[in-house]
Amino acid sequence: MEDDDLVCLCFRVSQRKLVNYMARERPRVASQLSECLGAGTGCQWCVPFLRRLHAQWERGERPDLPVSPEEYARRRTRYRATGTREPIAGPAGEEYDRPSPAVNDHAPKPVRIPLTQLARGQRAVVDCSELTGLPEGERCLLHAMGLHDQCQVRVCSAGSTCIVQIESTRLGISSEVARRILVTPIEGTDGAP
Amino acid sequence: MSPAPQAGTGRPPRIAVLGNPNTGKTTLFNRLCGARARTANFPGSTVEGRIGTHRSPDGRAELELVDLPGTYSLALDTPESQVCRECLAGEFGGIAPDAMLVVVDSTNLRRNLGFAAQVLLHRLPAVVALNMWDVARTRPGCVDPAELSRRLGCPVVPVSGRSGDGVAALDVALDTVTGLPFGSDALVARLQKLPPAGAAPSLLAEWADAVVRSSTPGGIRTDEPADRLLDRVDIALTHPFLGIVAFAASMAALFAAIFLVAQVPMDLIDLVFGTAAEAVHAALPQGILGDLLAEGVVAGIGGVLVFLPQICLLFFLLTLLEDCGYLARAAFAVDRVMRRFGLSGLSFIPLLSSHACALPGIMSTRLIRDERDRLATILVAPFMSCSARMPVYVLLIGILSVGRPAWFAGVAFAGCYALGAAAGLASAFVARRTLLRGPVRPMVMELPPYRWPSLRTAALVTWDRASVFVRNAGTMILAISVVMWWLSAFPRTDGDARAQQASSFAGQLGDLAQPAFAPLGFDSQLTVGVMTSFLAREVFVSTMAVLAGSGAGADAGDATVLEQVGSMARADGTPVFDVPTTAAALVFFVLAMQCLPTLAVTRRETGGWKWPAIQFGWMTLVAYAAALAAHALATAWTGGSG
Repeated sequence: MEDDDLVCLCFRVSQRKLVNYMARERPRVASQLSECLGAGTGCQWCVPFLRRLHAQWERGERPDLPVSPEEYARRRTRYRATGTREPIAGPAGEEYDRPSPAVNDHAPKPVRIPLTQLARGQRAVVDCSELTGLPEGERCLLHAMGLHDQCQVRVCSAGSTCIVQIESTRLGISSEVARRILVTPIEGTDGAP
Repeated sequence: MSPAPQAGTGRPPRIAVLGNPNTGKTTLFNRLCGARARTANFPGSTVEGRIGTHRSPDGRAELELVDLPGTYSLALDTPESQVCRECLAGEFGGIAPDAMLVVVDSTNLRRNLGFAAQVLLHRLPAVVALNMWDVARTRPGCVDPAELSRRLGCPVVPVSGRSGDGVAALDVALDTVTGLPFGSDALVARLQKLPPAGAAPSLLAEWADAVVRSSTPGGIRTDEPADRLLDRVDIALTHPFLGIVAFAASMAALFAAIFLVAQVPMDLIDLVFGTAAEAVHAALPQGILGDLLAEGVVAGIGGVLVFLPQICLLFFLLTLLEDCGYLARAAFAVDRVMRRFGLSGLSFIPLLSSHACALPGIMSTRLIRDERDRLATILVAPFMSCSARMPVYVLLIGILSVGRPAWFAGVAFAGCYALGAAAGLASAFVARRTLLRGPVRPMVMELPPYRWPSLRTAALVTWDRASVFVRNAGTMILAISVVMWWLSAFPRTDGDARAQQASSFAGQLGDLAQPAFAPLGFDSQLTVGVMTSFLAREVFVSTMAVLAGSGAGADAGDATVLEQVGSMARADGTPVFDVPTTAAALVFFVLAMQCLPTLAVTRRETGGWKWPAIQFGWMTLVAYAAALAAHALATAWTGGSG
């Protein structure tokens, strides 16, 4: 990561700000980094990385995260959608740094299928990057209704009217629209009988 | 501290009430303002908002609340979104709001906060009301209002619009916040906590998510538990077959209730105003003034009020259905059918209620979100056979079925209804491909949770609709009634009713128009009947009765209206109502736009004379052409003998 890249994306706290903060305030524990513009108090994704930065600084190393900002942001999005962390490769001995052969930049891209092909009860993550088949107005409405990129949906009805649940909201989507929405099914949530 | 009236104007501070749809915003608004609110059309659109006055319990402070339409985002290309933007920019009545009340559904915080962020970016003092708190507080992972308030940089008040809990605290917060000087530090600090203006939806969502996570002490739930029972109910109600059956059943119950229950007050209104008209006649000396009051004003007011029972009942029941969450499901069930005609699922209810009366039908098109769908529905709603056509059908079908088997009348009745509905759907089909060309928007709709409908909300909506009708359409109908009376009462003659009819302006117009109706086989008497019924079609029967009664002489007293009218003769002695003419008249009445109140309501709902003019022109054209065809067919059928 470069110094100007964001570590806490929720509150837009950059690596530079954190490094300067540690040099200035000399925090004794990593959790004190939350005093730096609220870093880590949002989605909590960056908490292990804040610990890591703090540990590096305590050891006298120059704090830096060994991950590209794009990859970092992508994993965070996945984390926020699914609630699970994929480990990030790095030097051994630190939290979430265990090298994992399964996770690297050449991992196969997840399969995306139209929303209409999910079974009832199945959960999936919505990919809005290619909602190109829909008119602009429709896309904006869907976003505003809660069907934004990387949100998690549960299929309540897979019939000709597709009903999905996003958090506590239920949306009815006619099949013309639903078949243009691409989703990545979440493993282990196969449909109900 | 109490907000001072805005300096120099003396008006109470104005507060814009904003929120997503289905957040209970209107329930909360009603809780704050009660029935004192008035409905206002926003300039340049058909979207309605409500303006109410709220007094704090101690009566000190007074606030003016503007209930803006619910929208999912301030950046959408919909009338609702646009109205909200304009109101915040001070383009509504030239008065910018002094503060904002953002109503969020606390059971669905993350989506609601995305919208709240867009609103809070406006440089106005704001209060966030965490509505439905009574539900949210019982759930795990409940947000901490104090922490949320710190994160949003504005007061956050948990309330329940349904039970009224927390409204007092909201009072205090609104009071405090409207007293804040503009551009205070608190406002500036708030702007810094928000995502930047014009942020992408996913960024807004991320921000909202971060805020919710950080202000929920117990940690949030990442996924909502699956409610299989609810899934099954939803599947059944939106099912292509089961859903339609359920919809048909509920609509049958709805309209049975409207027809049966509304009939009593309608008859009562007829009776009261009939008696009142006679009383006015008796009380005043013979003359123009007595006639004007009795036949113009009193009958006119009666003619307005007679529509009220149906309008009130329809809106009361419809609001209950919408409030309990059923209507959104039903719309999906019928959508597939209606799409074929270029209408949306939500068009079904206005069209169905138009079978009782087109007025409440057209007024209920506000349910339809898409503007083109809505206009198409308004355009064709009067084709549905309303109850005012019923007496005309009875009369004409009665004449037609003399000497025919008993089933004929039944088939003819059903045929009239089918003809009207078919013409309406076909017109919608044509309109969506010509005047209202555009893609049929596929339905995307939130399915609100099922819940007990609020009788209070339904009563307030009903009151609202009824008063809008009486104020706007009612005055128009009254004016029309007076003009109508004048047309048929002037110039005065000393002769009997028949002579008066014939020589009045209406009669002269009938004579003038007669050549146009000659191809349909109408003679001048029938033309007068049709002309007078252009204002309100139920007048036809009474006009024909007057014409027939006064022509038949003294011994006609015992004969029924049907026999009298059926035996009317043309100038040359042949019967007026031969088969082709009767058939042509019947078809004409099924299809023609003969109801000025409908035109008045169409004008109100579409905001101009363009659509009523198109409606009138198109329906008259269709009616004339179809009547001509019916005349030709019937002539061929009966061998031209009649």
